[in-house]
Amino acid sequence: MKDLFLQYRKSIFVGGLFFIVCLGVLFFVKNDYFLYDGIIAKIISVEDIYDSTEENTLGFQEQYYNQEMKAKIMNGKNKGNEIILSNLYASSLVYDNVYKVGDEVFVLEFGSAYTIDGVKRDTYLVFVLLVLLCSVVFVGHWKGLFSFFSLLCNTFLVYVYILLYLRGISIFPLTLGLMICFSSISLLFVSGFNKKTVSAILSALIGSIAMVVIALLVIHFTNYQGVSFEYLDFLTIPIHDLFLAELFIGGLGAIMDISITVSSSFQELIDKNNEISNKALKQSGIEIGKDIMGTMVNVLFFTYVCGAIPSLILYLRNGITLTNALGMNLSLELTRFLVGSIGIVITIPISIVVSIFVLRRHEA
Amino acid sequence: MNFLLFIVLFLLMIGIGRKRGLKAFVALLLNYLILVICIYLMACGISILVLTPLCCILVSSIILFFINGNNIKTRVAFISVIVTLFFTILFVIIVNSGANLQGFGEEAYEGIFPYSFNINFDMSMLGMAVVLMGLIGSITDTSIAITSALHEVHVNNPDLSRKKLFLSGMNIGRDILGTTLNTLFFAYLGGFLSLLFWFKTDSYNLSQIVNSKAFCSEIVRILCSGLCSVVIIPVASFLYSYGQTHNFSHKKIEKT
Repeated sequence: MKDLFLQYRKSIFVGGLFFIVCLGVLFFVKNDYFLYDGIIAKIISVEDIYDSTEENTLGFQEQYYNQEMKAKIMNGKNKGNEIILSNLYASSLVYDNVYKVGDEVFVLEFGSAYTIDGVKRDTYLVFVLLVLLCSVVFVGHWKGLFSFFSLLCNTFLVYVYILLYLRGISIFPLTLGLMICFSSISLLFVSGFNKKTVSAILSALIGSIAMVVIALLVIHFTNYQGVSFEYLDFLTIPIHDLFLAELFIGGLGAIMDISITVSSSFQELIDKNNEISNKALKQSGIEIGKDIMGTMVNVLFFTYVCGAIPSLILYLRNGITLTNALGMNLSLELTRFLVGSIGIVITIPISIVVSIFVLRRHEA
Repeated sequence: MNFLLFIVLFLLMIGIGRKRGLKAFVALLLNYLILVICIYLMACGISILVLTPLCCILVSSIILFFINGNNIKTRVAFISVIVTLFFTILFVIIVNSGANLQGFGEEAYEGIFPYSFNINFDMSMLGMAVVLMGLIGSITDTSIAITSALHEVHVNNPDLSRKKLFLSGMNIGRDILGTTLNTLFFAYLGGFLSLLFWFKTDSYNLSQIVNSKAFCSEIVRILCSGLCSVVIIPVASFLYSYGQTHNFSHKKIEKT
């Protein structure tokens, strides 16, 4: 045990320090009331009073409750004052919140009365983020930290992208530029600057362009027939353009995964046996592709489709038939999924050809 | 349009994957069917706490046993998925109820206001189900990647100690962690972009964005998927190395 401790002394020290920093950040966010302009109140007592029962056309009984709460103001000039808040909620919580002791809410001031204007969720957000960061560092050490940083960089890029778009730059060249930046940053962070990364970036780009071309062709022939855009109606910018951008970005991660897997296993094969023929490389590339294709397609499927579950339930519980509900709600998600999957599958042969070309180029 | 895309995907999968491509396609259809049936049963009022794990286990066993066959790799991967899911359920329930992430946010109001909200349905449990089902694909993917790579290592070096085997599992995990996080990040970002544009055009300030229900529930979904794909790396490595070197140490290594 003592040997083990000595052997990992440095990692334990760094890990411990890291953990303490994370706790510090969490503590800071828990008490960051002074950062907000709005008034924040912390609920100190709650009483639920039964209000009424309503019934919808299908006969579902819904109980309504009124919450009488005492809360303490945590910031601003009235800090420390106790106020009284109330909240009406329906027990299904489709659109309502139910508050517990210890919850923190934003309140609006009307003379001497206060109303609730939303929940303070930042502590939970940071908590989950830190849990992810800690486990990434625990499992992946520096490599894990690097991949986390690449995600942060990409998030920043998305912000710049949105700003540039709203400045009036056309969305297609912008999305193409974004995709180039995304794939270069992510793959460089994941596998360093070397030949296999270069080949992976190239195949990811060609793969996503192939995906885009197929998607555009299908859209050209069908003109979005059967796809319901109801859910994006709230946007003031052209929906179809935005949807295309979403399609292209959504499939990019999986495409990069395929390209780096193929190119790094080719590098491995060439390193082990420099004499290996292109034909044998192609063969094992196809085998690798078959191995990852099935599970990757399922990853995308569940990632996309599950977001639509709450609205599906709402529709079904309002007496809309299953087929109609699926058509209204799932069609958009299915399009995303299908385009992404086409990207995955088409990238397999592309990355095989590109990897052979790049990795074999400077050899005798 | 989706039908045409469907055909294109089918042809591509058959063209490149041949028999296994067809298998993967059939598995996809089965999973779709399971998901739809599960949603329908939920809407009929069957307990979400029972249905969700059941649906996850079914989906994961289809991905593992139907696509990859029944062998030591898929069995260990399956157990790892179940163990990880168990802890995730608790974690997600705590975060979801703590941060009030159930139901719809203000941003979705336009889409849902024609419908009655009196549906007598536990939306906070449903929030847990959404997170859980969203990550089942990715954790199954990671766990099978770990166990099959470890199996190769073990077959090639049968004398490796339990600790060495575990550590090489972690090493393999380190390599796939980055790309897995990327896949999830971009997939979610694809669905998330419209919301971000909406925030920006509706001139939300940072505090409103960070504390809004729509943003938080999306981020929690992303982070939980990432978290589970990371956590399953040590779980699968441990289970494989423990099972192979402890309980079955005198049995012959299974050939696959």
